[in-house]
Amino acid sequence: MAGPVSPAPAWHDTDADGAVEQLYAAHWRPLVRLSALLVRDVGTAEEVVQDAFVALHAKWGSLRDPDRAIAYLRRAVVNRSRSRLRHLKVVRAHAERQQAPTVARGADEAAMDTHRRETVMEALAELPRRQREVIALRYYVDLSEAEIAETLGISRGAVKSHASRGAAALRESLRHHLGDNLEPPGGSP
Amino acid sequence: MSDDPRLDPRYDARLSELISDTADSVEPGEGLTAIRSRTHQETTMSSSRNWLYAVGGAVAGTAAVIIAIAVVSQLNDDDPTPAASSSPSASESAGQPSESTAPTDAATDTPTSSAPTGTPVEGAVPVYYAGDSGRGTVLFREFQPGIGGDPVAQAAYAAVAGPPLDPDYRTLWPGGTEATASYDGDVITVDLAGGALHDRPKGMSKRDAQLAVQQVVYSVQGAAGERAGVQLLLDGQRTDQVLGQPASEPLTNADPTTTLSMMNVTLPEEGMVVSGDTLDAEGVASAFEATFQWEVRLGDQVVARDFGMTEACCELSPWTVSVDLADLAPGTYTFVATNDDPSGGEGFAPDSDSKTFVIE
Repeated sequence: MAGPVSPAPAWHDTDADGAVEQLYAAHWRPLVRLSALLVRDVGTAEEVVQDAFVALHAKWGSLRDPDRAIAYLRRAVVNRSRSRLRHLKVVRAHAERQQAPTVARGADEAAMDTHRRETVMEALAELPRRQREVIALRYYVDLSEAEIAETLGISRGAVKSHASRGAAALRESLRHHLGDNLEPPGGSP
Repeated sequence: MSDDPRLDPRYDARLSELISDTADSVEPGEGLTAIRSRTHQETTMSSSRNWLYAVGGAVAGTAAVIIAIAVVSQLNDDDPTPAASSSPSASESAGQPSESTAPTDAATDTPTSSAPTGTPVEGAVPVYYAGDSGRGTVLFREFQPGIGGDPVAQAAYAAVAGPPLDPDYRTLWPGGTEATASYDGDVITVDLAGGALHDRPKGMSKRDAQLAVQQVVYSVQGAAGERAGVQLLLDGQRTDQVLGQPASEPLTNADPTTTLSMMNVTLPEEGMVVSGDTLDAEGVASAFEATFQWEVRLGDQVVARDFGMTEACCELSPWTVSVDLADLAPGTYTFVATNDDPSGGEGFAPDSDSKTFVIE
C-alpha cells in the first residue's frame, strides 16, 4: 500500500479535498483494517482513520506528496489507535464487570473462520502494545524494518527485537493455527 | 529467546497469512462522507464555537508538543518511545509555523495574530501558573477564554499579571508586571514592563525566578502552538537577564518533568457550572503505570471515586474520565485527580490537581 499511485496525478496542484479523495480511494480500507488489528473494534478503527484523514486534510499544504501523505496517515492511525485503546481498555474493563458475554460457536466452516480470526485478534491483543504495532505493520502492511522504525519513531534495533518477541509469542498462542503442516524448528516445541 | 522464529520462513509466511486474513475479514463502512463533512466544518470553523470545545482540542495539541520535547533526550533509547514522539501533530508541525491547523491543534495553532483586538472569542489560551506539589513549586496549565486579538500576547500578559481562575495557582512575577508578545514564525518576542525586573528580587528564590521565566516561556509557546525560542525584552530593549536569569538569547522551555505538574486538570474548569448527569473531566498527567485516582468531594466527604488512565504511560499525556453525577444533589463540589504513588507513601506526595465545580 506504500506504492506510488499511478497514473501520477499532479499532486502539487491537488488541493486538500482532492488529495483526501484520492488517498481515501486507495487507503481507507487497509488503514481501517490496520487500526482494527490494533484496537480490535471496527467502529473505533473507522473513527481513528477518519480522524487521520481530517488531520491530513489540514496538513496537506505542508505535505503535498503522496508518499509523505501515506506515511503521515499510517503514523496518525497507529498513534490514534494507541490513544483510543487506552480509553477502550477502561471502557471494556467496566463492561466486562457488568456482563461476561458468552460466544456461541457453530461448527460449520464460517464459524471456524470466525473462531480462527477471533483467536488471532485475541493473540494480538495479548501482545505488549509495541510488539502488536510492529507485528501489524510487518505482517499486514508489509513494511520494511526501516519503514516500521520511521512510522513508530523507534530504532531499527527496537523494531527487530519487538518483531522477534512478538512473533515468538504468537508462535506459542497461535500454535494450533500455525503448526498445521510444520515441524517446529529445532525439534520439539 | 535465542531462536528467532522469523528465521523460519514457513512460520513467517503462515503468520502473515493468518494476520492478513484476519485483517481482511474486516469490512469498513463508507467513510468519505463523514470525512468530507468534517473537513468542511473545519475550514469554516467559526467563532460561534463555544470556547470550551476548543479546550478539548488544545489539550491534545499542546500535550503532544510537550511530549515531543520531553523525549528529545531519549532519542537514543531503544525502549518503547513515548506515544507522541512520532505523532504527526508534534513532529510535522515543527518548522511550519503557521500552516499547522490540524483539528487537534485548533485552539492553539490557528494564527490569529492579524485579527484586530476585540474580535469575538476564537479559542482558549493556555496560561501557566505556579502551584504547590509534593516536590515543591511546579507549573500548572489553565485555559482562559480568548479575549480576541493575539493569543500569544494574551498568554504572556495573563502569565505575568494573572489572575489565574484557579485559586490554588499564582503568578510568580512581581505585582504590577505587564507583558506583551508576538510571534514572527521564528522567535516569540515577549516584552516585559512594570518595575525592577532585571535582578532577582529579594525574597525570590532562584528556583522561583526560573519558574517565573518558564511560566512565560510555556505560556507563549502553548499559545503559539510551537516550541519556538522565546526572546525576553525589558521595556522594549534586549537585556542580559530577567529576574536574575540569563535572557540575552532566545530561551527554550525547561524539562517538563521538573517544571510542570505531572497532574493537571483541564475540565472541569474552576467554578464551572455543570448540568446533566455526567461530567466529562479531562486533563493531562504523567502517571506511574498510566494510572491515577480521582475523587469528587463535597466538603470533606468523598462522594465519588474511581481510577483513570492516561493515554500513555510515563510522560504527560491526555486523560478523560466520565463522572456520574446522577446521584449528586445540587451544590458545590471539588474534583481532585492524584497520581498513583509507586513509593507507597515513602517518597514525595504524588502530584495532584483540583477544581471546584457547581452542580445545578
